[in-house]
This record gives sequence, structure tokens and C-alpha cells, in this order.
Amino acid sequence: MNILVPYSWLKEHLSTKATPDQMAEALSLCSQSVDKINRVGNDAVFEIEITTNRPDCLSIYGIARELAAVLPRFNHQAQLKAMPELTTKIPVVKKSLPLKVTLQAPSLCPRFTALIFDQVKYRPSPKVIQGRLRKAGIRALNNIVDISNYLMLELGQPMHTFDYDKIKQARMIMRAAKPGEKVVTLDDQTRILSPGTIIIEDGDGRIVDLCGIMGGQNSAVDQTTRRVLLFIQSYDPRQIRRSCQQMACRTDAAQRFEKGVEPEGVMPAMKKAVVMFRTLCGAKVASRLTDIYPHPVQAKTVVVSTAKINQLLGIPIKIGEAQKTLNHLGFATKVSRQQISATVPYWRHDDINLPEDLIEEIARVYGYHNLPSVLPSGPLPLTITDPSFTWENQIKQALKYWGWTETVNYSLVSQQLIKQAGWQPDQCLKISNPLSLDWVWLRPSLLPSLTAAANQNQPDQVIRFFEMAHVYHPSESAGKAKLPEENLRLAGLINRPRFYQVKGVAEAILTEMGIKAEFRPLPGAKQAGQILINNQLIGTLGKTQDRMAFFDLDFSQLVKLASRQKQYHPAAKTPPVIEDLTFIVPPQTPLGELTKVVKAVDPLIKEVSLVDTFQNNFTFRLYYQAPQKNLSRRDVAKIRNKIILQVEKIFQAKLRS
Amino acid sequence: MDLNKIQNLKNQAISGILEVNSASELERLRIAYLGRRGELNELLKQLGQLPTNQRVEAGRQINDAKQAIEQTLQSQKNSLPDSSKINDWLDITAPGKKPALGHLHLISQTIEEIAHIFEKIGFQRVRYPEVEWDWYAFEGLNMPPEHPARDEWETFFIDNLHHPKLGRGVLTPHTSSGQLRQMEAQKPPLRMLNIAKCYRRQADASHAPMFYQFEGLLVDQNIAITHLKGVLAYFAKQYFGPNRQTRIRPFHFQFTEPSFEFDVTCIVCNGKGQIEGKRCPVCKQGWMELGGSGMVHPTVLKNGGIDPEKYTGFAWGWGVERLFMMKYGIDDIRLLFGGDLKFLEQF
Repeated sequence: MNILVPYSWLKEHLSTKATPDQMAEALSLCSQSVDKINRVGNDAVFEIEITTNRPDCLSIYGIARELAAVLPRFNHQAQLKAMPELTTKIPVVKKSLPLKVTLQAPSLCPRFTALIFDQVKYRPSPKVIQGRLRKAGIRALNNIVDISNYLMLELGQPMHTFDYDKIKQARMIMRAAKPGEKVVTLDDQTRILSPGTIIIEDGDGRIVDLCGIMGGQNSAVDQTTRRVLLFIQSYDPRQIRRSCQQMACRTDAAQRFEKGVEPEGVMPAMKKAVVMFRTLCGAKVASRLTDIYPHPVQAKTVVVSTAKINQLLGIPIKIGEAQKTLNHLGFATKVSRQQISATVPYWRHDDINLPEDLIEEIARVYGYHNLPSVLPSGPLPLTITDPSFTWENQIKQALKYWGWTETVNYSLVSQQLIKQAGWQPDQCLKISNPLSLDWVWLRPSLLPSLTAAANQNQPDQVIRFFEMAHVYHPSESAGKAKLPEENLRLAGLINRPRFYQVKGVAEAILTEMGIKAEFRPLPGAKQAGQILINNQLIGTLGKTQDRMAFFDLDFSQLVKLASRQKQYHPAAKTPPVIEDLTFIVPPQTPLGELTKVVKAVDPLIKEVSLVDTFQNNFTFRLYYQAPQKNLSRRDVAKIRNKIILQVEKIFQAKLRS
Repeated sequence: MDLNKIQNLKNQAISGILEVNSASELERLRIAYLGRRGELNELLKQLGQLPTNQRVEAGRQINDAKQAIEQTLQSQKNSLPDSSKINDWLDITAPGKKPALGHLHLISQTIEEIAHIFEKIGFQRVRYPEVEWDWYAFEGLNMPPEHPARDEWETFFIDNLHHPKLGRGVLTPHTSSGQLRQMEAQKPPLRMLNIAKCYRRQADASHAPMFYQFEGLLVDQNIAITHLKGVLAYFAKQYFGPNRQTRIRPFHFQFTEPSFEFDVTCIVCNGKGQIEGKRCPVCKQGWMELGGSGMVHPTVLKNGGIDPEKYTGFAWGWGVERLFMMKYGIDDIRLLFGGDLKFLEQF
């Protein structure tokens, strides 16, 4: 959460000569991060990002307290000023106006205080107050409401003011909302309350307050108000947070309450409010203080050893210096036997629990920027690298140098894409809270997104795209308590029907990975085939309906089957006899089968490769080679005749003479 | 002379002829192999030195080779273009025939670079689930349900996926979910580098619903804040250049204590905070935020089965895209995903 902090307001609580820039530097390096300094007139306003663990910094006073601790480290003197209001006593009245309070759910409200003022004069606030509110981002309304906003900004304690005469029968019942209840809030909105929301009901059963979030319109202060009921509480942060989320309403007050407002901070705010009501509204206290606080927070003590401090910081720190730092931050400390025991100030009660928390305080004020940078020197872990990373990089690089371009597409795809691809929804994983209709399902295949990626471009350019990414399938176990399968796949696509290019790339990938595979027709598909290794399906390839060519490989499996092992064969001592044979084959003769048959004719055929095709003429280059002797023309002729016979018998193909 | 020599000569001649594309060169080869003093005639002359029983076979093979070479010469001659147009001019300025050259995605390039830098100081890459249980993504990292810190991680949930102990199935919103997985898999000392896809419910120029992070985790005895500074400064200098300055500032994460924000001096204004008298558009007073880091929270170590009294460690989790978007001045993360060739071809 970001807050706006005027420099001039800070100076009311802090005596220092540090300039706004110097303050910003000290805060950013040692405390909370100053995002910006805005100049407003001759004042400077800091925009500060407050981390969730430091609600105590969500106030002018909180920031002044931090500055008092960190500025001296930058050689700027700084002293937090005492607030005289905090020593004033709340007047005890003889005749108190009545207020009957019932807490039905005390755990939701650890501390409940209320005080009634009479003779309140409704008017605009003085210019100084209005100016400060404006710089801090809140519009001034009237002196009564302004007091509550002013104190929320200054002390971090939200509070609310009711018109006392609008609380029927001077009775308040705090309880959790029931399903279906409604309230009209100060901003004129009718809000349907989510069950469990903390509310106040008056003696007539009307809901007068949406506690910690916003007041009810029916009890709001206006120019006729004479008697004000001031209301200062702390609430269960989780319930405030839940209600805000469910009702989509997050006010300044609620943002503070949901991060935690300490019950011990309630009374200082009450005391300063009493003073401000007197000076700004001419008001008099007209009731006894209601203060329901059944379980006062006990201050806690955390102990840390110097050994631990030095170990975590990496440099030795003098124990006295560490102690001084903690004292500056409001901790009461005792040192004994190289240990500091620190009593946590109430405003840090939730944040400080462990020795590490104290070390953070000591280290940040010392200045992380003052610590040296050292590479760790411990033993290196003995681990074996997952080979999939090396393969992934190697194959991606190969594809790049073969002219392919890598794309990265979202793992999340639309309902429409799921339908187009013909996937069964029960074989896919669905997002229960999608951000948009484009991202609803986790994709079980890469191809549809690759096609979409190719179609993003002008169709006149030849595109070769590939992607390597996980695909997702629900786990096959019967129960649902198993994570889905995430398989790494590699898919490639050319936006032209160039099947033999994609096949060639698939073959080259397999060769590079040392894998022998078989390409077979895919049953039921005319234009697609399957890639098998030991009869196990590891991929598909073919042409799509929109005349593109693709391959799609199970890369996780390929990595398991891959091998970098090579075998050395001494070169043959005899030269091969090389000749070309051209066959005229009938249409739809499977070339792969034909080649296999030719190769199997005789072990002296070392290699058969297709060198040319023309219509139904296929030209093969044959390498005949015997290990120990030179083959004669007669030897070759014998084998050749066997080939011609076989090919004719099996494929009805003829040698072209 | 042996019979191999004849075969070799024949193969050499044929392959040589097939590569020729001028008539004059063909003629030169004809003379070299078949001419009166050509190689084949030289072989014929040596025939007499062979034992009688081999002479017939050798003679037959030489004749064989002669015929084959003649045939090849003839067919190559026929396939030559009109000889009158051929000349010896070589145009050096005409474009060459380039080998095919595609493109690796910037994300892949950067991941390789990051992995390489950290591998040198002993960090090993790992893979952990993208669809992960709440325990690993949040609760085990000291973020119980309803904790306000969870607001920072706008999370996608998976339909019908729930574990009785580990909670709901989520798309992991950060690579930090790998921390507990790593601690379960390995005892200290450990040095992990987890580079993976992450998902958050947000989409604008600087946020995509899917993005990459790289997470480092080091756990050992006596690991201090100074070591975190050392490792991260080493990375920043390797990646952005040796003149970068770095610093850490206080921040807050539930799974580290203390927690830091890591800054590096701006690569655009060189850390000056301004360019030609104007405020630098990419940095804050000369510093760029790279990401969060911190000393592993004792609760997280405990959840990972490691004794926090004995071991300490540090971790960081930064955006991969952020790194190179800073480096190349890319201002919209959504450009990275999908098939815009005009973008992809630039890298």
C-alpha cells in the first residue's frame, strides 16, 4: 500500500535539518521505499510504498519514528518530538450521556472504545488541517469528519464519528451480519452484506455501521449534529479482509484494519481526538469512556545472540551498537552474556517474533549497502545435471540453424480453440477463475497455438515455427489428489504442405539424439503418420487440413531414449562399387518399404539411397561392398538381378533400361 | 599396382567429372584420365609387372573403368549449358547462398545465459511442477490462507484439483514453489536454479498472465547476507556488464527474513538518473529494481525438513522477461508471446 507523507507534517513530529532528498535516501535504503517525491507549493510530499508487515508505518508518526532511527546513520541528527496530547487525561464527567454496548462476537473486536461529545460546532476545518489532508490525498469535508481522517493519517488509527442522536435508544449491538442483510453506506451505496461481516445495530434494529470499512448513512454526521459519538476500535484483520474482498469495497480505513491495527494504539488516538474536538469544534466530553478490552496484549520479549547476529550479517557488529539501534526503534533492551533480550514495542507486536526479526532491524539500520559482497565458499553440492536441459538447448539451437524460428505461446487457451482442436474437456485442465475467455484451459497439445501463431502473419511468407513447452493432462489416478502430468513436447510447423521438409527435420532430430525410429501411417488418417520407437508412440507428423505440415514429438520420452554414445568402425579396406538403378513403380508404392526390401536382398549391399524421383521413376544409388575383396562385375550383377526380381515380385516395379 | 587402385581411380574420376560445369574443364579431365599419357594408360603400362594370373582380371577392370569414365564424360557434357555463354568471370558482389538461419526466442536465449552464469558457481537447474499444490506455492512458504501478503500473487486455481493435506491445485505464481521441493529432494549444501513458467491473474503492458522467473536457492552452514550480496552482484555484472553497481534495500516477503529488493545502476542513463538534464525515463534516481530476494525464513527451512539452527540460506526469484526488456528497451511484455514474425526475427 502506498501512502502520501508531506515533509512539513513530518517536521511537526521530528526535529531534524535533513532535506526531503536526504530523508528519501535514508528511508529507501534502511526502511520503507520512497517511490517519488512530489513538490506541492513549497512543500515536498513523499509517496512511500509500505510493505504488508509494517502497518505501523502507515502513518506520518510511524514514518517520523523510522526517520529518527535511520537518519543518524547518514550523519543527520534527528529527534522524535513528544506529543503533549498523549499526556492529557480524558476528563471524567459527572453526568454521562447513556450508551449501552453489547459485543456479540468479542473475538472480532479485541478493543472497543467510544466517547460522546456535546456542544459540537459543525464548521470547516482550519486551513492547515485542510492543506495537510489534501496533500495526503484526502478531501476535507467538515471539522468533525476531518478529525477522524487527520488522526488516521497521522497516527495510523482509523476511527469513525456518528451523530449520537441518530443512534436509536443509545444502544449499540456489535455482531456478525446474517445472509441477505443490507446497509446504505456514507457514499450512498446500498451494500449487500456478506455473512460474517462485522456490523453495529442500534436500539431500533437498524444497521448503523459497516465496522472498519464505512459508516452507515442513517447515523452520519451533518450540519445539524450537536452530539458526536466517537468510535475507535481494533478488529480481527482476517474478517475485515474477507468482507472487503466479498463486497469489493476497500476503503483507506479497511486497508489499515486488514493489515492489523494494534489495540494498544487506540488510547493515544483517543487522547489526541479529545484535544482536537475541544480546539476544532469547541466540544465538551459528555460521557464516560467506554473501553472494552478484555484481553490486553502482553508485551513480548525476543532474545538474540551476538553470534547469530554476526553469522547472519556476515560481519561482526558491536553488541552495544546493536542495542542502541533497537532502542532507537522503541525496543526496551537488556544485554547479558552476549545476548540481547528485546521487549517489542506495541506497534511492532505482530511483526517481531523471532531472533531473525531482530537481526533484520539491526542490519537494515546498519545499512545493507554498508555490508560487503562475498561469494560463498562452502562445498559444492554433488548433483547430476538433468540431461533434458542440455538436449533442450542442443535441439533448439539445431532448429535455429536449420532455419526455424522459435515461438513462445501461452499455456492457457480459449474454449474455442479446445473445440476446434476436438479435445475432450474431461482430458483437459480448466482454470476455475479465468482472467479472460482467451485463457480458460491448459493446452494438451502445442499444435493449435502454433497454427494460430503462424496465421498471425501474412500468408505469402513461408514460416517455419517451432515451440518446446509443457502440455498438461489430468492425472489418470482415480482420486483427484494427484498433480496433472506435465510433458515436455517439441512441435514444428510450416505454413505450406511441405511434408518431406518436416519429416526430414524430425529425422534429423532423432539422428542428433542417437535414436532409431520408425515412421508408419497413422491408422484412420490419410495425411498423417506416427513415429514409433520399439513400438512405442513418441510423435506424429503430417499435413493439416489447412495445408500446413507439422511434426509433434514427445520430448520427455526422447530425452529418456537419447544416447550420445558412438561406435567406432574401422574404414573398409576395399572400395565400394557404386551404381544407380532406376525403377518404374506403380502409383502409391511405399518408398520406405521398397528401400527396405532392396537393402535386405544381400548383406553386401551396404547402403541404398534415393537420389532422384521423376513421375513414377525412382532412382536409387546402391553401394556394394565386401569387407575383404573387390567385387567383380559378375558379383554385382548377381546381386542386381536378385534385386530386380524381388522388386518386381513384391511391388510390380520394373527396372528402366 | 593392385586392383584397388583401379577402382579408386575410377570412383575419383567419376565424382570429379560430375562436379564440373565447363566444357574446358571436362576436356582437361578427359586428357588427364583417358589421354595418351593419361592415368588409365599409365595403369595399362604397368600391367606387365603383375603376376600372370592377375593380368586378365586387371585388364578387364581397366577397360571397365575406361568405359565408365567415357560414359560419364559424355553425359556430363550433354548436361552442360550452352558452352558459348560460359566464361571465367566471377561476380564477387552477387549475393551468396546463405545457409538457413532461424531465430531462438529471446526468452530461451536469456534463460541459457542465466543458466550459464550460475552454473559456473555451482547452481544446478531443476524442473518442478507448474500446476502445484497450495502448500508449495503458499502455505509452506509461510503464507497461510487469507494472509494479506497473498494479494501480491493473483493466483489462477485449477478446477477439481484438491489435496486433503496440501490444499488446492494452483498454477504456480512464482518459482519459489520450487524451494520446498528442492529441500525435500536434497540435503544441504544445496544450490538450486529453478527457471520456469509462472502464472498470475493480470494482463497489461508490463504483466502477462504467463511469464518466466528464475529462482535461486542456496542453503549451507554459515550463509550470510554478505553472500547473497556477492552472488547477486556477480550475476548483475556478468549479465549487464562489469561497470554495474548493485545494492540491496529492505523489503518484505513472508518466506524470507530479512527480505530485500535488489537494484542495479541503470543501463540507460548509466546510473546518473538523468539524460541531458531530463529525468531518466526507465529508472529511479539512477537505480533499476531487478527483483526480490532474502534470507530463507526459518519456518520455510523447517517445512523443508532442514534444521534452521544448523543451516541458513538465501533465495531470490526474478522475472526473466524483465531482464532483457530492460536491456533491449522492449516496453510491452505481450509482444513476446505468439507468432509476430516482425518481432521474433529481430533476435
